[in-house]
Amino acid sequence: MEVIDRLVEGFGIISSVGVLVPMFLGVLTGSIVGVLPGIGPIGAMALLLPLTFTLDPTAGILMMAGIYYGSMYGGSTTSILVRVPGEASSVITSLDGHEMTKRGRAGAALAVAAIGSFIAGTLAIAALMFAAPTFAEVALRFAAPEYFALTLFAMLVLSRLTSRSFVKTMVAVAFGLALGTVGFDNVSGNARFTFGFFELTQGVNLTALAVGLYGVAEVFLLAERKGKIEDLPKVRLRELYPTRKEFRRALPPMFRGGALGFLLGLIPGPAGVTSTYASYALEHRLSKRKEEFGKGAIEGVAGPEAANNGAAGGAMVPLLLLGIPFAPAAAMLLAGFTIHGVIPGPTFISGDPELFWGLIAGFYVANLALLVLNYPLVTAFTSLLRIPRDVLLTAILILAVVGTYATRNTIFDVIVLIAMGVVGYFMQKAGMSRAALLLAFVIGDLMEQSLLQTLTLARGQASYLLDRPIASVILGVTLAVVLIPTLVKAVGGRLHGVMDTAGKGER
Amino acid sequence: MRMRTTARWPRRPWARLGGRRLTLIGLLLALGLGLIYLALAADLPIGTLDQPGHGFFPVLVGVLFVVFGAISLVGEILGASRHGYPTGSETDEDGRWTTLWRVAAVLAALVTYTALAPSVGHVVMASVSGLIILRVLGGRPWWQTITLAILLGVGSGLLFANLLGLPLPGPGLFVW
Repeated sequence: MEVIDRLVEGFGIISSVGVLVPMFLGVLTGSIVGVLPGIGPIGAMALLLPLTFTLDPTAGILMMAGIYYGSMYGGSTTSILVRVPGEASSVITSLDGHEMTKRGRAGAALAVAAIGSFIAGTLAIAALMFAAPTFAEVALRFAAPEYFALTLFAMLVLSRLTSRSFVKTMVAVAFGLALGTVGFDNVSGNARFTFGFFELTQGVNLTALAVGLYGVAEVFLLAERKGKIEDLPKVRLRELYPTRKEFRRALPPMFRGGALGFLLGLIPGPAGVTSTYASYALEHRLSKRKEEFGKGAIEGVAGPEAANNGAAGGAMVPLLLLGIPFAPAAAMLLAGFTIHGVIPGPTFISGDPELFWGLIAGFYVANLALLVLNYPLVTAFTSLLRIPRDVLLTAILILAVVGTYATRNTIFDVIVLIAMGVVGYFMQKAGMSRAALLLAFVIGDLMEQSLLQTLTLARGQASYLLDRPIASVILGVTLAVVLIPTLVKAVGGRLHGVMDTAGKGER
Repeated sequence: MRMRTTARWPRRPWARLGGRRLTLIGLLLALGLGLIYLALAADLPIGTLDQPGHGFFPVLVGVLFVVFGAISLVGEILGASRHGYPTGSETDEDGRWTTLWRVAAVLAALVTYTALAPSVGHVVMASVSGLIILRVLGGRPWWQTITLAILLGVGSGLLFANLLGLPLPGPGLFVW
């Protein structure tokens, strides 16, 4: 019951205009960003990061969380109506969602996506809320070696999951870590790699890096192709309901997708995207109407949409309770925390209970706001796609430049922004993970600190790590995740070779 | 009878600068960056294993950067020699000169803004850079492009400086 009491207190904390208005603005911005291809949720969170400076920590962090949640849902609207996913986690929704639109069931698909997102988001927050105190107690036993093992786990597992090429993703990780070492070293206080630029003593600006990688690079990629949306189907408010039969079919996938997404959110990687594919595969496997998948199966909309919102909730667990982001969006949230002097981690609940429970309550309200906003405004959001592509891309670039310049009032950051845009463009071309670079940049500092502390504590003894069971287990799992796919591939290839030789011999 | 060769140097070498070639350039740049980073990191005090200095972590990162950069590059080169360079690319339009030209023009507009905005001001440079980007991406009639560029430049100045109170580069037009 203590949890419920705390939650009620949390609702009391956020019941003010100063918190609710920024949160609603965040949800609205997220929904718009999700609809429009270009800047993406990470870029939008990075751009709005400076705006949160002046806000109360609860309001600022909830505004960014609102963008995260909003973008997860916003992308599904255009996926369903015009088969243009605003962001990656909505790609799978377009398969059956758009087929439903073609059959005149766009309203039902949108409603199921909205309700599924709401149910999964709410369940994920409930799971976070009830699991948090126990999880935090376990996490209190973590010291430098465990944190080093965890940061290594986050980076290597993310590298395994984000790209087809582990080696290329490791280049991105190394680049992110290298950028993170620029500026004052937090352990010794020495300046590194500043080349005499005062701006670099504070390190590479996170906003410039994130907006460049995700916003500017995306504009470069979009600039390659010409294209426009031909016809936007009109969806009236009164059409936004599924039939009883459709709802009955959609309800179990919503719960399954939400649970699956939450669990995948606990693993480092782009859970928002992978969870939608996993949920789609699960629903296809469980369905008695397999032939309908790809032709407008409502389960193919409900499951993935619930999954990506469940994953957003799951990603909050390592962020809030360990202080380690397992996904790029969570990394941006961590930046939001740091700006306000808040350090999430095992002591977060006991050290700053008002903020923690205020955030939990805020997450509930943000989910509700998502449902309330998106339902009536669906036509308005979709009509944003009527903005001419050239005007939209130019406006995004102006916003990116101004937003980045405003963070530290220096043109140097704009140069970094453009450079990171070029880097992001080449990374996409080379099949490297931008998420891995961003995550490595954000958690690199923690990794260095924990590594140096561990080495000092170990006094050169490698067995020190093995004497710590939690760290050993985390390192063992990391090693398994990295090595097993390589070994399976190698053994599989050798077996194929043997079979081929045997086959030729028989002939 | 003249034999036509299938493998001839393209009239515009950059016309096929796409797909795997672009990947190779990217990986080569990454490896070069890794080598420079490692060389700079090696100048910092590394310390010992039980008393690491502030160059210890950067050296580790540099080694990681160079090793994985080299493996990626070799892998890509071997892949290219095995499969050949694609004439187009993985996607529809990647690697065609016309598409890369659009990207280069957008980049040039951004660089122009960065170089001149501190002295000329945001509104003028946002309009000029906007004009380049709109012309390249939109292909509208000039009068429409110019009108839109001015609207975007002035509009962004009014919105960000006057309404939101954000600092903008250079002398402010319309800022009151």
